[in-house]
Amino acid sequence: MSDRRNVHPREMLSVYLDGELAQTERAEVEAHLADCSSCGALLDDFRAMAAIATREEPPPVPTDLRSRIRLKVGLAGAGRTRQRRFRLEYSRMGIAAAAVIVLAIGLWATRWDSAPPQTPLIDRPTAPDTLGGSERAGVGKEPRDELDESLKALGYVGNGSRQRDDSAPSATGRNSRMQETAAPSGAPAPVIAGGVREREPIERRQAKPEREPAAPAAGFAPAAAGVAEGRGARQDVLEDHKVVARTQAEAPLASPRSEATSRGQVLLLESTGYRVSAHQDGTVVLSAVGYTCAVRQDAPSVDPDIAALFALASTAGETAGSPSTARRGTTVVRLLKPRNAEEESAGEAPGVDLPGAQGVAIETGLRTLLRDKYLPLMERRCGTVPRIVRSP
Amino acid sequence: MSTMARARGRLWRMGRGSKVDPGDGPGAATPGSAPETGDGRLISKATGGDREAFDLLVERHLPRVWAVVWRILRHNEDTEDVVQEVFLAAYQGLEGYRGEAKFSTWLHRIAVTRALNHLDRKEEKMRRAFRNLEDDSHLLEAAPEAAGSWIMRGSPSPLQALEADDLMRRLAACLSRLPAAWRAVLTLRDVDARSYEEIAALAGLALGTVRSRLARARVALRQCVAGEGP
Repeated sequence: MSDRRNVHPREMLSVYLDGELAQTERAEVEAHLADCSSCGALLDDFRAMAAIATREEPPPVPTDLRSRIRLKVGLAGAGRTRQRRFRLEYSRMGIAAAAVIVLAIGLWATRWDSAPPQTPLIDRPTAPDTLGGSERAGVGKEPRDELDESLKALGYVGNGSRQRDDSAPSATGRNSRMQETAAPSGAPAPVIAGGVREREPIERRQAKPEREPAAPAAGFAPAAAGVAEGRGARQDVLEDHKVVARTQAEAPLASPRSEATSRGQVLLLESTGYRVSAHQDGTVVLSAVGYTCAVRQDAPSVDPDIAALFALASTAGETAGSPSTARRGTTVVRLLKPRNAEEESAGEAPGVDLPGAQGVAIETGLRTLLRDKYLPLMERRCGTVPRIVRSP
Repeated sequence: MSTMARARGRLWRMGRGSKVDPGDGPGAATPGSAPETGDGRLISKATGGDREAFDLLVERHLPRVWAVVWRILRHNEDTEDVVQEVFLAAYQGLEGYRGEAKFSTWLHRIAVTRALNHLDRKEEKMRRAFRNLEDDSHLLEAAPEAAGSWIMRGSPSPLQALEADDLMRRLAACLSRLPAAWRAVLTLRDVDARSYEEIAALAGLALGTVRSRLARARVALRQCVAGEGP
């Protein structure tokens, strides 16, 4: 027994406490306990610690965790929807392409010797997507219409390219200025989109050669060169559905202040070379040099993922009126709020930086949302997005 | 009766017999209870893509999932990450939930697995931490005097001399210092009342490893709480 006392069966005691010992081992431990007060005390302490550990309260659940879970789950759902949408789109596009081929063969067989040469509605020198060829055919329903319908059926709609009106006045005034800059002589500015010349009014098309370069503007020599080379980009502004010619040198990034407008608060992610803003009404705007696109999910309620981002932002510790320099690398995430006239005149800051974990979570969420849900939509509506937006 | 004795008495009354089933902790549903019944409806809706229904499930079960994961990791940021993973995994795996176990039990299992996986991802760090204590074979084999002079003196254990609140504070601090994998098995056993077999299955360990790891964890924890520990 003295041996037993000198070599205390600590592991056995632990297993004994848990009731996981075989009967013989159990009897052995109990015999040792009868003789060894230190092991008895040890067993008591094991019991006490187990009991205390059970009572220990974990820290409270962070208030923004629900929003973050909601966002994460929503993004996962969006990924699934996106895959499904792509499958549907490809099948629709396949059907459309087959229909176009059949119609083209029919037309060739019956009208090849008498048909006048067709003027292409859209000149696509770089054919950034697969629709160029069939649009040039100019027969039947345009695949872009087909795509619009499929997008609408899937709950998405973009603002701009189907609703543009070159004669509509600009709400911000910036577009008018840009038109004047691009065409100071009063000649209509060519409308260029991501290397794609957009549809113009019929009379304008008939009156001009197809690739009329923009008139060079003072101080914008590179801009004119850009247009001449077809390297301009589309400016797709939501408010007035206005499309104007923009070139890389001309186009500044959209002002974040102007984005906190009647659509309520704005979550703004500013990174090197581009800016993404999510509006409270569900509109997502991407602004890069020479590229701006605004899209919104066509649903009665705001995209729940956008709503989750705002819920998360609302829990972030605000330092109102004092935009800090809470930068993560070259990126800033900021919450912009509309200001009343008083705040405007007092020169109060338009927004607050979102620091810390919330800022990182919102940045990650916004980037993921853009990549998985909105960039594909923007590419369809406004052309290829600049490479810098896709770079990590 | 001395303060020490009262504290000790309280500790005794909080014996393992009062332990709750993992599925019945705070925020958990009990068999046939309203929440579990409500879970069924919500699960059906969520499986059909109803995000609001899933949000409600999150609302109901978040506190307990948070507690389970936090007790294993004892690190707020890591716990936040893992808890998000847990609910994402649950959302993505809802179609595979057959209702054979309670939803809370199913979720608890995901939570434990994810928390342990998180520990695995920190394997190198863990290995370094383990080497210090796993190699301390004296924890299990030491002679009585090595465990503390109080034994030789026949005086009460330092733990017994502590008030319950003080003991709680010390235990919490020491649990945080314990190697995470030891803490994980200890939590699964002492808080979640898992059997050795269940722990072995969840953690992917041999039964003997569970047994020795638990014993080492308890001895190390006790030494730490008593102010003798690592």
